Amino acid sequence: MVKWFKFIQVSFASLLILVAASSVNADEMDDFVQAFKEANALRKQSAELGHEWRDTAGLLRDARKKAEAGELEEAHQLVAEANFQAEAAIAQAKREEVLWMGRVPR
Amino acid sequence: MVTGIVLTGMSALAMASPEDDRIAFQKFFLDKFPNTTIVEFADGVYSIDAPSREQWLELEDFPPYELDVDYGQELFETPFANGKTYADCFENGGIGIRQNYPFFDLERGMVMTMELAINECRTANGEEPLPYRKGDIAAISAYMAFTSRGEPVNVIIPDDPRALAAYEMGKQFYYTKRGQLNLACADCHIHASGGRLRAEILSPAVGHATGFPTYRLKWDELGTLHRRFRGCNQQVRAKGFKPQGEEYRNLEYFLTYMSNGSVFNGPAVRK
Repeated sequence: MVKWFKFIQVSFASLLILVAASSVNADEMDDFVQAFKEANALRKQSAELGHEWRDTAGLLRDARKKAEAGELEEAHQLVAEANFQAEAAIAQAKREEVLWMGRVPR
Repeated sequence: MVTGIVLTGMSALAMASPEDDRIAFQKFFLDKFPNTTIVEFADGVYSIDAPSREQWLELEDFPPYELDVDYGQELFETPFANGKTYADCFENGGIGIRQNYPFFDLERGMVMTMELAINECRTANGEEPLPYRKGDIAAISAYMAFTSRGEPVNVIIPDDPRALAAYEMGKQFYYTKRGQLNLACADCHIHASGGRLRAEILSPAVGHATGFPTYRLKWDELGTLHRRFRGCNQQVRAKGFKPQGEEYRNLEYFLTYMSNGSVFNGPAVRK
């Protein structure tokens, strides 16, 4: 948790520097940061349910790198994929609260 | 209302006693593999596939874990800085006791495993804990397992709601689908056991926990049971859990209980 918090702090600080030093539109970067935060919140929720998927955090890390490189379209795609994974993991956790029982040999 | 009745029925089925669970679990495998006994299932996939068994028996003539057992013994007998050894921490000097693990510690209200006990022995004697997946802890555990070969698996669920809860958590974990591939442990190792996953044959779940630490040919080294749990979770693209965390200790408790009546035969060699 602490590691992720630091990651986001560093990440957003570096993105602000990037906006100042490049032609990346500040509004577009705000949109990305917002989307990133939302996807990361869902990832955390899936982890609290014990169902985080293996690659979700990696997708967010890759998204950050793309944003830092000014490749916002690719960054958004990665965040969308992470968001999809986290939502699917949460849905899986909720489904499995009951469905696991049907797999017990009787 | 119909859904409610179905769910209530499923809950009642899922909450059968551990012993009812074990009997049904083992019957499933005895029906599916009628030529294999519960004791023989301790040999994993080699108990159900003759060609694989033949290759494995050849390997056992000169087992790849042999040097690890010797190294584990050396570590086991080397005194800590305070002059004590692992033998001072365990009943019977740590020899022939592997079959007592996992057990539910009523004082602490938690499942105790062999590797956790090894590390607690170290910290109680002023030493740093060892990483749980491989290396020295696997070697020490392998040596201790070697001294318990042939001992019966007889995990006990004491009459205590916390012990039953730990068992139930392990059971739920085993049957719950996880990860992007949406697979439960049970999907592969119960319902599809004996089937093929690419070139490999899926091993039966009964007897799974008996042979650890295991020298996996894929790893080219010895590894602990929790390393294998984590690897399986990662393979279905779920985020693995911390070795010796509550999730995997409870899973080990459930899975080993399901092999009651079989024998401990670690360290083993597996694909």
